[in-house]
Amino acid sequence: MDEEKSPKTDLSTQNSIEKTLISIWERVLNIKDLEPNTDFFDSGGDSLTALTMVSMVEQETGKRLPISSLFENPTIEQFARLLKDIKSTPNWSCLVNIKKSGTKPAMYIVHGSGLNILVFNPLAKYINAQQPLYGIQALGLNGEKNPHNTIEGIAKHYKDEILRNDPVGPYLLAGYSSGGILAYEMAKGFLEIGKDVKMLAILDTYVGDRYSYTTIVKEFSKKVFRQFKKLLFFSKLFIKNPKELYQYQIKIIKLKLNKNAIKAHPEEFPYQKEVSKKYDQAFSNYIMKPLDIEIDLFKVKKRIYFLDDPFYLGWSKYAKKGLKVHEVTGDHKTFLFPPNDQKFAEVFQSVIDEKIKN
Amino acid sequence: MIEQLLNPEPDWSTFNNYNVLDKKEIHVFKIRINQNHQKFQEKYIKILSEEELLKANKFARNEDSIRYLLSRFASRFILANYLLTSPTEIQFHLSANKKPMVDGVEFNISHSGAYIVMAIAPGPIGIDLEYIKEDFNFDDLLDDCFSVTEKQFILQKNEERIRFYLLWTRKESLLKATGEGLTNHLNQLDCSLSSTIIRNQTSYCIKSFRIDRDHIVSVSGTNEGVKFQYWDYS
Repeated sequence: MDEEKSPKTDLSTQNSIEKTLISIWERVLNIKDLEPNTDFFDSGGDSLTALTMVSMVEQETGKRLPISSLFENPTIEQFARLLKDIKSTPNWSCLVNIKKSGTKPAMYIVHGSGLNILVFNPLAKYINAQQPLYGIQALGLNGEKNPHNTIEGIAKHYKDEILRNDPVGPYLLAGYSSGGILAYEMAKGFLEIGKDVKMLAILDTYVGDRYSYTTIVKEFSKKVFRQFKKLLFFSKLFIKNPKELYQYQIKIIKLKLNKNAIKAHPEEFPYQKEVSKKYDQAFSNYIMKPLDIEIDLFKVKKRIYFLDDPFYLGWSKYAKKGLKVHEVTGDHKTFLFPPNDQKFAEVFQSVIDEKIKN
Repeated sequence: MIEQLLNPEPDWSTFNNYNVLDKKEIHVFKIRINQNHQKFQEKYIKILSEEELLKANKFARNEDSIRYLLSRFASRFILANYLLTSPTEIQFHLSANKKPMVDGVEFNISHSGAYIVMAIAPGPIGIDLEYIKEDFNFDDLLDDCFSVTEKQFILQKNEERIRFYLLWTRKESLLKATGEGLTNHLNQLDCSLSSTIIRNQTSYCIKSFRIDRDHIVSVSGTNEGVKFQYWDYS
């Protein structure tokens, strides 16, 4: 999970920063008694040690300077001045690393109506050891204003954050419930800039039976939101380990917010309601267009409410390169949780492996 | 897989300051620091400029100072051979990215561990040498330096360390050849697993080999299929 980046060092004065830097530079350069006017490159520093140094400085101070700034400011004194002036590396991110390790291309899963990505934790347990997993949680949960009120805007924001995390690709995207629509729009964004989207997985998202090419289809958004309302309570019902959930949320809240927020109800982010509202608006205004992509639809075997298109959940007309349906055990709310989680992880991983082979 | 990118140590011909060299090939020189410093240190003062001698005093460590003096000394002799002039006549200047240059031929230098290496070519050229440090913690740098595919290549069951240094020298040599130098977004450059790559509308080839068991060199040049010559400076 997201580790707190707390500055271990006093960064208030030039002097204290210089002291911190001296200690780091001495370790990196393996040299003693450095002075503020010591030049990095005159002390045996090369590009590899420069990178190591910048990375260590980030670990200790939460601030990262671009490597090129060292060439212009090669002394401890100059580098300390730069550090003093820049802001901390922004650490609220929609991107949450659920499972970091692994050599396969990372899978990015977009939140559903619950807006945060705790639902994906059980999945992390059973997914292949070599499969890195990121969750994308809603903007605004940290209390900062969500600047977007369109699906396009939100999807672009998520896409850009993924690009910052991995600028090269290929990309594997998935969206759970209403998140499927966001993932779909993100895939469009990646394709537009010529990136390779190896997989677009839709996790039981229903998009209705109407071809909503030119009109804003209210009917469609209503159906999506029928799923939403039921799901708002999923965390209370289905997370088996409320203590873990509570601690995670408190940690996030402590990290991102002022102290007052901790009093908020533990099962909900304090800003969840406002954020939901913003997302509702975005969904109801979204016009979906067919996309030149193959879609893998994971749909549950057990359907507890009626759908107009129970076979393809409305997706067939949007996936111009074809739609593959994979059935998973459980219903819309339970397929990600025990005892269904292991089965789902296996099916999900086998499809991922198939996709990245090609 | 690793063998496809990393060649064994090539056969070196002896270079002795009297060879006359063809500017149209890529030439790589290895300069063993200790041995050559012993041999040439008394001549530094006659060959190097006053500026170079002053700069040598600025290094914190004696070994860095020696390495600097020797690399300037040897490169003056080597370059004089291509430019048909005398070593003292060589005028170095710095490019915008602080890469040392001379008029008339392209060259690049790198040093690490026991060696200095130098590459000379008719077109843009970059070389990077790394001594494989057994205690260097490269894990924390992987995300900053490498793309997902490059990381996949490095994080395999065996020889992770060699793989890291191999891809690092490949990337660094390419960025030296293009003149970009160390950029801020190294992980956006997915280049080190190909033997040829197009960057800024120019096609580069990257070649890597070992020196001894514990040094890796990569050379990036513009002329694909160009003939390589290897010289041992002494």
